[in-house]
Parts: sequence; C-alpha cells; structure tokens
Amino acid sequence: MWNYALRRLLTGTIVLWMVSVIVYLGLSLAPGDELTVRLSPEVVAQLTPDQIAEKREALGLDRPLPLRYATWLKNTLTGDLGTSSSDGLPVAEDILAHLGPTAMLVGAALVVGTVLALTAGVVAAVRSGTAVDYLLGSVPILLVGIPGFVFSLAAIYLFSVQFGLFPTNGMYTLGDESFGDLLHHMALPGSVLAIGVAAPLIRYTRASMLDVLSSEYIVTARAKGLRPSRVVWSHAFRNALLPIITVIGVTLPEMVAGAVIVEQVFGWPGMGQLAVRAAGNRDVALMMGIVLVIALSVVVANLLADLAYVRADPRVRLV
Amino acid sequence: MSDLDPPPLAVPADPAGSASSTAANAGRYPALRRFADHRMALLGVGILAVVVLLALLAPLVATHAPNEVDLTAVNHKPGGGHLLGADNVGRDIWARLVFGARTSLIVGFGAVAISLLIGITVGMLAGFYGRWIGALLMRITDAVMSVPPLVMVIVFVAIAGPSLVSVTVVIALTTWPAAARLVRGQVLALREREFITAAEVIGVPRRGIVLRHLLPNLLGPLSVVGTFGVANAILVEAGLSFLGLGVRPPTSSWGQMVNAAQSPVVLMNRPWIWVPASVAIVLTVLAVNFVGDGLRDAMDPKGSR
Amino acid sequence: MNTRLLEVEDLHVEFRTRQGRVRAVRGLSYQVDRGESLGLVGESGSGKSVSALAILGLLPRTASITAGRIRFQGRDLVGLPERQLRAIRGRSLALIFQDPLSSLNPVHTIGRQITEQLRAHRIATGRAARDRAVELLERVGIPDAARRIGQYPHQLSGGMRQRAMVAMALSCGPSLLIADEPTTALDVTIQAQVLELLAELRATTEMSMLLITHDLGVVAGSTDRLAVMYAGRIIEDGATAEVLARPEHPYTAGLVESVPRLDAPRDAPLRPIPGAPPDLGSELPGCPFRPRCPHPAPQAQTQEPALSELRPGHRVACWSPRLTPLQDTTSGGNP
Repeated sequence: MWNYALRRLLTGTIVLWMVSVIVYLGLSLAPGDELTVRLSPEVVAQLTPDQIAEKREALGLDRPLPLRYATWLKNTLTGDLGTSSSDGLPVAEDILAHLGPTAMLVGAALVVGTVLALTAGVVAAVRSGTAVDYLLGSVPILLVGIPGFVFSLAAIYLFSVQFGLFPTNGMYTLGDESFGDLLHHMALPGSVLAIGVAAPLIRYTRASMLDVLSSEYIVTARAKGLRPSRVVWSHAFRNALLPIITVIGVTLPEMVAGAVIVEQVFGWPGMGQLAVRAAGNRDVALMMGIVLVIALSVVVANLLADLAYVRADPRVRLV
Repeated sequence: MSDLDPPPLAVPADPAGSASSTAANAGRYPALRRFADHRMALLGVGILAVVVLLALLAPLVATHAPNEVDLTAVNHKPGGGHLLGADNVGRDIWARLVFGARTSLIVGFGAVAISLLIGITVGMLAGFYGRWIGALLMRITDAVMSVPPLVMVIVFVAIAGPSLVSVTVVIALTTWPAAARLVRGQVLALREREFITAAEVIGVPRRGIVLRHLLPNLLGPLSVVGTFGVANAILVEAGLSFLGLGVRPPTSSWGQMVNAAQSPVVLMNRPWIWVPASVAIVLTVLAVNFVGDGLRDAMDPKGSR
Repeated sequence: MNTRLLEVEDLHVEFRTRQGRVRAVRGLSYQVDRGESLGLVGESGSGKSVSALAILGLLPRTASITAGRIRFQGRDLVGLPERQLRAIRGRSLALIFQDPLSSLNPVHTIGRQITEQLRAHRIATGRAARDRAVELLERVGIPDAARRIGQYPHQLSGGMRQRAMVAMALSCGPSLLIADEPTTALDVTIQAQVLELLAELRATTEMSMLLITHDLGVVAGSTDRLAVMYAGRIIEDGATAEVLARPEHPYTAGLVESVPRLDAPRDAPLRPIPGAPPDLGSELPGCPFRPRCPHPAPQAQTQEPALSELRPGHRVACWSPRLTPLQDTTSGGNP
C-alpha cells in the first residue's frame, strides 16, 4: 500500500506542478506582468519607464519565459508569493489568515453533508419503491438545480430574518469569541454548504446501494440468519461505499467552489471571500496564490480519498 | 452547485444497441421512444422551449429596454407599466429578465460547444496516441480538474476582463475534462475489442474502424455530458455575475439581478427585484437537468430506477 | 416422532414482471427425511432454485408464495414471522450457492464471515468463535486454516472458496443443508472433491441434504433419492439408482440419454431433448411436456397428470410412462 501512496504522491506533485504552469501562464498574460505582481500596481504606476526597466532587469524579468518561471517557482516554493495589490500585505500572510475559517467551514460541511447523504441514500435504497424513497430521491433533484447563492439568500431570509434564529453574517459577534458563538455563526452557512455536498451524493449512494443489494453475497448474508441491520450496514453498505469514496474525491473541487459563494453571502472571512476581493481588485498575485493553495488542498484531499479506497477494498491492496 | 449525477463513465460498449426485447426498444429510434416516455424530460424540454423563445423574442416581449434608467420608477413594485417592478435605478425587471435569458443561454450552450470541441480533441489524441502524449494529456486533464471551477473562472475572467465572450471561453476551459475522459475511455475500450483486431488482420486500417464505431457510441454519453454541462455553465455564470465578477452592464444577467439581495432591505422588502431572476435560474437549470436525466435514462435502459 | 425433516407441499410461487405474472413454481411437492439426501434435478429455469429460496423466505421482493406449505421440523415456514425465520436460517437450515466468488462478501475476511454467523446465533463469541472457525476450515479440508482465517475471498482458489462456504453453512450444526448447484462453477476435479466432502460430512453427522442441480452425474453418486422437476413441478421421483436405471417419464429418459457416454462409439451423435422448456409466463394446459414428448397420450392435451406411484417408491406424473421392464442387472436399492 505504501508503494501506491508514493506513486499517487508523485502523480499529485506532477499535477500540482502543471497547475503552477497554467497559473504562471495566466499570470504572464496579465496586464503589467510580473512587476505589478512583485511591487504592486500603485508602486509601478509611479515609476518612470527607466526605473521600470531597471527594476525589471534587477528582478530578472527580461529573461526568457522558462527562466522567469523557474525563478517564480523557486520563490513560490520558499513561501514568497508576492505582495497583494489590494492591501499591500504579503500574499502568504493574507492566505494564511483566511485559511482557517474556510477549512473549518468546508471541513464541517463535508463531514455533515457526507454523513447525511450516506444515511439518506442507504435508507432510500433499502426502502426502494416506497414513499420514503420517492421523497429522498426527488428532493435532491430539486436541490441540485438551486444555485448556492439563491439557497443561501433564502436561508438567510427564513432563518435569520423571519425566525431570527441565526446571525446573518460574520464569523463571530464582536467581543464574543467563544466556541458557542462560532457554532452559532457557522450553523447557517455550514448547513447550506452541507446540503450542497449532500444533494448529488444522495442519488449516487442510493444507486450504489441498490446495485450492491442485488448481489449474491447479500442473499448469502440473509441466508445465514443475520439481522437486517447487519446485512444492510456491515455487508451492503460496506461494499457500496467503495465507488462512493471515488466519487467524493472527484467532486471535491466542486464542493469547494460552492464555498466561495456561501462565504460571500454570509460574510464568512475565508478564502472564498479573499478570492472575490482579489478578483474585484484584479490583484493578480493574490489570485494566483489562492489558486495554488486551493489546488494543493484538493490534491491532498484526493490522495487521502485514494488511500482510503485502497484501505477499504481488500481486492486492490496488492496493487 | 451543479448536477453531479454520475456521468456515464462506463460507456455501453454495444454498438448495435441492447438486445433487450421490451416494448420500449421497438421501433426505429428506441432511444427516442424511451426519452419520450420520460415525463420529467418532456417537461424539461417544454420549459426550455419557453425560455429559448422568450430569449429569442426578447426585444418584442419586453416592454422597456433592459438598460433604460427611469428615475421616476426607482424600486417600483410590480404594476403600473412595470410587469415585475423596477430596480434601484428604475430599470424594468421583466425586460432584464428576458434579456438575461439570452446571457444564460448563450453562455450555457456556447461554453458547452467549446468545451466539447476541446474535450473531444484531447480525448481522441490521448486515446490514439497512448503512452507519452496520452499520459501527458491526461495529467493536464487531471490538473484542470483539480482546481474548483468557480475559482479558476473567477481568476481568469479577472485577468481577461469580464465580457460575454471571456466568460463563455473561460467556463469552457474549466469543463472540457469531462468530455475528454469520456472520449479517451471509449477510444481505449474500442481499441482493445476483438473485432478491431479481426478487421486489422484482413487489412482494414485500425484508425478507420475505430473512428467509424466511435461516433455512434459517443453520441449518447456526450449528449448527456453536454446537457449537464449546460446546466453547470448556467450556474457558474450566474454565480459569477452574482459575485459581481461576471458580465457587466449593459449586458443583463440573472445572477447580477440577484446580487441586489445582498442588501437586507432588498432581501426582505423588495422581493420582486431578486426573486424572479432566482426562479428563472432554478427553473432553467432544473429543466436542463430533467432533459439530461431523460437522455441518460434513454441511453441506458437498465437504469436502477 | 416424524422422520420427515422437510416437506414441501403443493408450493406455488409467482413473480411479478414487466411482462406480467410468471408462475415459476406450480404445485411443487417433495420431501426430505432425516439423514437422507435428495437430489432435485431440472433444467435452468425449471424453478428449482426458486423453491430453495422460498424455503428460507429469501425470495426477492418481486416474488411471492401464492399457495402451499413448507414444513420444516414440523413447523410451517410459509407466513412464519421474520424473526423466527431468521432463527432457523443459518442454524438448523443452511444454504450454499453456486458461485462462491460472488456469494462471499469480498470485503470481509473468511474468518469474519464465519464468526459473525456464530455470534448471530449465539453459538460462540470472541476467541471461542475464532477457534471454532479455524476448526471448521480444517474440517472441510482447507490447509493452513489459522492463516486462511484472515484472508479474503479473492485470495482463495475456487475450490477452497466453496469449501469455505460449506464451512460457513456447517458452523451452527444444521439439520438440513440445501446446496444449490454447488459444483457448477467449479472444475471437474474440484467438483469431485467438494462432493466427496459433502458425502463425508453426511456420513459423520446426521445432516440431511437437498442437492439442487442440472447435472445428472452429480446426483448419481451423491444422493439417495431423486426428484425431477419440469415446468415448476415434480414429474418423477424415487430412489436415485432406480430412477436413473429405469426412467419412466420421457423427460427423465431424455435427460439420461442426453448424457454423453464414454463407452459409446466416438462418432455417435449427441441426443438432446428436442424443443425448448416452456414459457412459465403463460398458461400451460394439459401436460406441459407434451410439445416435446415422443409418445404423448391423448389426455395429455387437456389434463395435467398427477404424481402417482408406478412402482413401490417410484412415482411418475405421466399419462404414458415408458414402463421399462425389469432388466437382468441388479435392481435398484440404495447404494
């Protein structure tokens, strides 16, 4: 299994490297090129053309593309992602400050959403054909068509405004940094995101379970006189889980994308909000840094999902 | 949030269609029959037809120009010359709605068209030229899939400048991997089939055979992927515009219209400003999804339902 | 005390399909006594596996028992509440299937699949269960059992997998073992081994066996009695040796004759039964075998023959049985 892990790590690194190439190419297409990234547009705007040429030479920006890329890569790997043009801070700092909140939100939503979806999918499959199944099967179809922002707005309208149950935005109430307060603020955006995670997953779980439930070994399990709950969870679900793990890995990027919208609507100070701000200001350095960090986390998450799959399915362990 | 229903990654490999003998498979175009049996799909087609019609006839259907600022009608409730009311600078909501349909549909279909073009090309190349080129292309595909599409779109549109064209192209650039994987998988599968080897033995060039069999097999799954891609593109464009990072006025966009609801006053007291666009997005996306479901079920009669 | 262990009486099973109702089992009746082994023979689609599933109450949701009784150890299993059925399944009544690869859960170890059964029926837990599992694997002839306990089904060969299934079936000491095509998915040599194993187990315990198969070669050496199924019901039954030596029903005769013989001349043609099995989705008036029968009686057109005793212990459902005269070989007795 460690062999497999190493191979996936290698693939992941290559993928990341490619993302960096794509990112850098995008960067070089940006108006003002790397100089603006390094020194921020305002500073550059104040320089005379001579000074600009000087600076460029000093920073090695007149060299051919591959060399420039190499320098940029070196800088990035040592943590220097440039300076944000919107607030003048190092990009790395900006990102670090916003990483935590997003990780919390997305992490919680992933866990809750997945558990929800798996349970609902199993129940729907076991009670296939009944009203329960119909309900659990059709609700996700509708939910998937509702864009995240509409859902978020509706949630705010209902739960914050009408029922006054949750705060409308932000991460903490001023002055109160307790865990309880955090949860209170996270409840609504987290739920919206969790539902976004769950909706497509329910159908997939249901399909996978139905597939497994018609297998021969399920008949064997029942013929052994095992309790139905054991047959469903220990036998059927355990097998149905395998393709689902793969699906979760593949749809991870999409789930993260949902977070961008949710963070914006709920004023959650995370990477999503940062990205929107960066885009609004055409802060190229910041945007690139964000893309890289997000890509990194997705690759890592995918790796974990792959490893989980290998652990879960004894048939592939010898690979 | 877009539909993540399992796209047909495992393509039905039977070129002649299944040998099932149920009534639904009778007739010259069994898939078409099955599609027609799918009530939701038909409903989807209906809704979509209405939307397309409204979009096409927008100038005729709208009572005002979508960008006509009318300061006497600021935040006007529905009625009095404005079918759905007016927004904060007096623009007619109904007009913006039907013109916004154009944006959504153009981006939706345009992005998918481009995305399929790229995806099919990459997939074919990767499938035929296995080994190095294929592996390289697949790594690139993986790389593109690794970044959340919305994030990529935000970044590249910011770089390229927000316009209908840039939004469409950028969305296409982030969604072609799905088609590429599909095509590559099918090419690889076909290459290994015995009848290819058999035909080769009698002298038929391999590429020719594969291509001949490729197209009919791809038509089904690609149309499903394409349909869901349209829904996805519409959602991404709406999200982008909602964030204020998408198309700018004078172009109208549904997402843009919902943006106003970020203000609590609009959210609570002026629903006519943001609800119609929201409903429009939901209906259109659902309609496209239903059509996609219908297509998918039509392609694979052994569905689990 | 009754020696009848299992008695299937006039069983009718129906399937609901898109094309209508399919009556897979139509008035099926057979019985298995204590300590005996009954072979249930028929072509694929004759309903024999369905009857096995029906006995254990494991029919799929689209099927239902529409009439008849299934008495096991004196109790009628039809309509028995699920909880009581569960207590019987895997404990006094065990079932093994055709394909051990797909019948075993691929993600659980062999050991776990045995011990969970022991735990479910409160026979043993923890350490004791594990030891018993090792014991069972050894009993069925799997070498290095202590190591195999921790392996997964895909790590065992076909023959070993089937042995493992037998071990699982035996774990709680059942009175009756139903084996549904236990050797069909195996190589011929492995087939012999598994049959030998089953014979040995029966010899050392009082376990009865219901062996369901389409292969006459398998029943010939492993069963005391034989029941032949056609179109959902029994059309002939009796002592195995007797039925195979003097088949009365033309279908049984056809089956026997269609088996290629090693002592026949090399270019002798194969002799299949002409025609095809009937469509169980439609009504079959009269005798269902009539379309393929070489010598149908006139009543066969409209009346379905009932099982009647032609000779002591040998019953046939036929209007024109062959009535083979007794030959000069030793007549059939239990082997």
